[in-house]
Amino acid sequence: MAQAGKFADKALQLLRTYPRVALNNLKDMPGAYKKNFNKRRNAGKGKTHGRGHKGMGQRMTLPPLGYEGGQIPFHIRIPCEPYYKDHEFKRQYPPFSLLQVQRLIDMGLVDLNEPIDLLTFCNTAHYDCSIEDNHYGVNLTEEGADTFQAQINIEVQHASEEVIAAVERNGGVITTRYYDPECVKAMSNVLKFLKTSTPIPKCKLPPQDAFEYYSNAKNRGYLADPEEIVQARIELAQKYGYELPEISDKSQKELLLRRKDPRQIFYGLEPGWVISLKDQCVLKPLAEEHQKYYAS
Amino acid sequence: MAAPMKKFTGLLPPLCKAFSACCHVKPALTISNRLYTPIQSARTYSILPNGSFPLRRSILQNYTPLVQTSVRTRMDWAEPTIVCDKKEGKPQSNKNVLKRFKRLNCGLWIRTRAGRSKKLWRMGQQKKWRHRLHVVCNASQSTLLDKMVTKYWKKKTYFVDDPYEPYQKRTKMEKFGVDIQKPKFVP
Amino acid sequence: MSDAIFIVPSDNKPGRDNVTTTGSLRAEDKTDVTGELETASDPHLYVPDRPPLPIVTSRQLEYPSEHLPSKQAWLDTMATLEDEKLGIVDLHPKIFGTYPRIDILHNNVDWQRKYRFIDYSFARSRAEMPGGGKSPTHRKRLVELGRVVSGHLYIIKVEKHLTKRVHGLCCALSAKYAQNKLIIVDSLEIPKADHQFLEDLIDVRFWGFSTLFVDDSDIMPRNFSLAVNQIPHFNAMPVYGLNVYSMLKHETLVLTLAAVEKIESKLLQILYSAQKEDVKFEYNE
Repeated sequence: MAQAGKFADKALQLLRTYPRVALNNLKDMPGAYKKNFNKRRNAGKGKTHGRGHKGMGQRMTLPPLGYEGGQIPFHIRIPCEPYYKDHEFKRQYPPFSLLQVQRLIDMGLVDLNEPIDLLTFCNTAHYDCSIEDNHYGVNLTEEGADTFQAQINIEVQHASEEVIAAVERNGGVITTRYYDPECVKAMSNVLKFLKTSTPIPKCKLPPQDAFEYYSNAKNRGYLADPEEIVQARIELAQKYGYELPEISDKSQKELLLRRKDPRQIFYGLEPGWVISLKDQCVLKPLAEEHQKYYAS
Repeated sequence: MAAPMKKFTGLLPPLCKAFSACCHVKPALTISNRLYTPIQSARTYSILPNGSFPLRRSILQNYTPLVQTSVRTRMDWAEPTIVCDKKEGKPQSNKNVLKRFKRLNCGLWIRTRAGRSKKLWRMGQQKKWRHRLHVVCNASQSTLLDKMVTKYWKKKTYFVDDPYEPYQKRTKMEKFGVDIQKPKFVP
Repeated sequence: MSDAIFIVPSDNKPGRDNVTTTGSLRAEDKTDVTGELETASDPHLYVPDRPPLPIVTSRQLEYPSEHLPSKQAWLDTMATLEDEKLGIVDLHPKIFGTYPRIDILHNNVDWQRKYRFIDYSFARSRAEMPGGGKSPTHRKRLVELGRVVSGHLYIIKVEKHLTKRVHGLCCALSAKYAQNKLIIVDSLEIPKADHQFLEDLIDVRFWGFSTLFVDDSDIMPRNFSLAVNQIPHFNAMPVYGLNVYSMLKHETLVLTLAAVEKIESKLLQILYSAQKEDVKFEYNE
């Protein structure tokens, strides 16, 4: 956007020799404005208004799209195939590569002292996730797995074996985690969610077809047995031929061990709490019913 | 699984499962309107808010259908593509297209071959295999299908474990002198 | 240090001494200047007690850039007729050193023009047309009288509104800085509420035919306000009123140090934020 630097300096040096930048000097880029293409009303467009004489063209009785004069048209002749069966129910995970994650870290857009999750990605404004398009979260892809060098605690919605290996090779920790639509909506645009002043939703368990994925230690699922995950880490290290590095730094270890409760969405905040931006405070439920519900 | 009011999608609100459930149309009524002329059928169908058709029921209750087959008329595929519907002012997709074709992320449309389940007894193995393949539509067909379908169906999909994943991207386009630009990388 | 793009005047004397050698003096030139050059001796003029110069040699920038050297500008004062450089101040390169996009400036000025335009044209309905409703002899006129004049309907594109406006401000400030039309002043205090004093001050310093003074708040020093009120071509403005059109309309732009701080903090906050703009509710905030 705003570019400053050597190139800009050269241009500014040139500006010193030019007349003063004033209201009479301004001009738009060539090709900025397109001429108003009005098919019907214009000079020389009277009488038939660009429609010709008589016939279907002038009388707006043209046949529908794809009509072939009565012959069975192409789009009807082809047999049916349920390509789009359950299309609206399938979950989509927009991809985000390890290379992009590395870049975010290098540019300082991500705080390495905090765990990385869907919320972090959406806050950097470099990742789009909208539940209206059936997007349920991040799919971490393998591009940049070879050059990935960061020890992070990352939480995504889908990751392949290579990606898990790349992250764990550097001493990091990766978990796959499911968020239900309401939670994804809250996380993808936090400010909008906070302005609604609704309680933080309680995250629901994944649906049947996803449950198996998230309870598998090989996928580092959040519902998997922690012991199995430990075993899986060792197995993966053996498979890809790297050694799991030991972490001596206490603070780093603490960071890597931070995990969310299966019902929790935001780190440090529990479901049921209401955050008031105007009063700058957090409101917690007092009624027993509510507390019970959110704690379950 | 025929939708009862197939011919009148342009006039009715979009059909949903709940709507068809509360229509209470008897199976016999889905059969042909070859029994009466088009003008007559237009008169008998009165469109009321909830989509109920009392007039139709009263006339047809005494009829016994002559032919037990569903016959398509020219009206079936003379359905126009709705660019702006009466109720909401929104465009609508052609359901026939969505039943038969699939759009890939790169803009290609996939279809099955016609006659793939017919006369298999006299087809050789090779021919049967060829008929089972899914095929790509040509450029003019693709543009036609793009026009018949709304923006929702042209959005990029990001399914995991998608069987069509290798086909969502075009490759080796340099052969045709087309330069596919790499997506812009913004650090 | 860094590449300063402005010229430091070799001496504090005004250029008139050079002019006298070449051309003939006009009557106005002879009378005023020589008398008021001696600032210290005049008892009416207030010479402030200040520590030895330079007072300021640098300024802490918000979001300092590692790779871009900051721009620098003199810090002037308006307390005396002749300018005295109090020191040097740092300016953020992203705001005062961006590439001067003339088309962005044009877009901003165009937008401002369109924004203030209200189209009062209308088309009368049948009920509003002149003519009675009683008998066939009192027939309503069929020709519409209030016809909408074509070409006056201005549609403002809402897309990327915020970034274009911010970018425009940065470009305008950079252009002013580059062309030596940007002056930074410690405050807008002048010794007497005399419009003549202000005119002479601007004459002496060659600040141009029209000047825009920008302070951080809309309540400005008394003397200055009274003096500026008398002159139509010198205008005062708080920071919240800063716009591209005014900056380009006036020849020079005079900012107080407090105003510079405020402008930088506001613009940098937007330039360095990762927030997505909610286009639907753009004009709400």
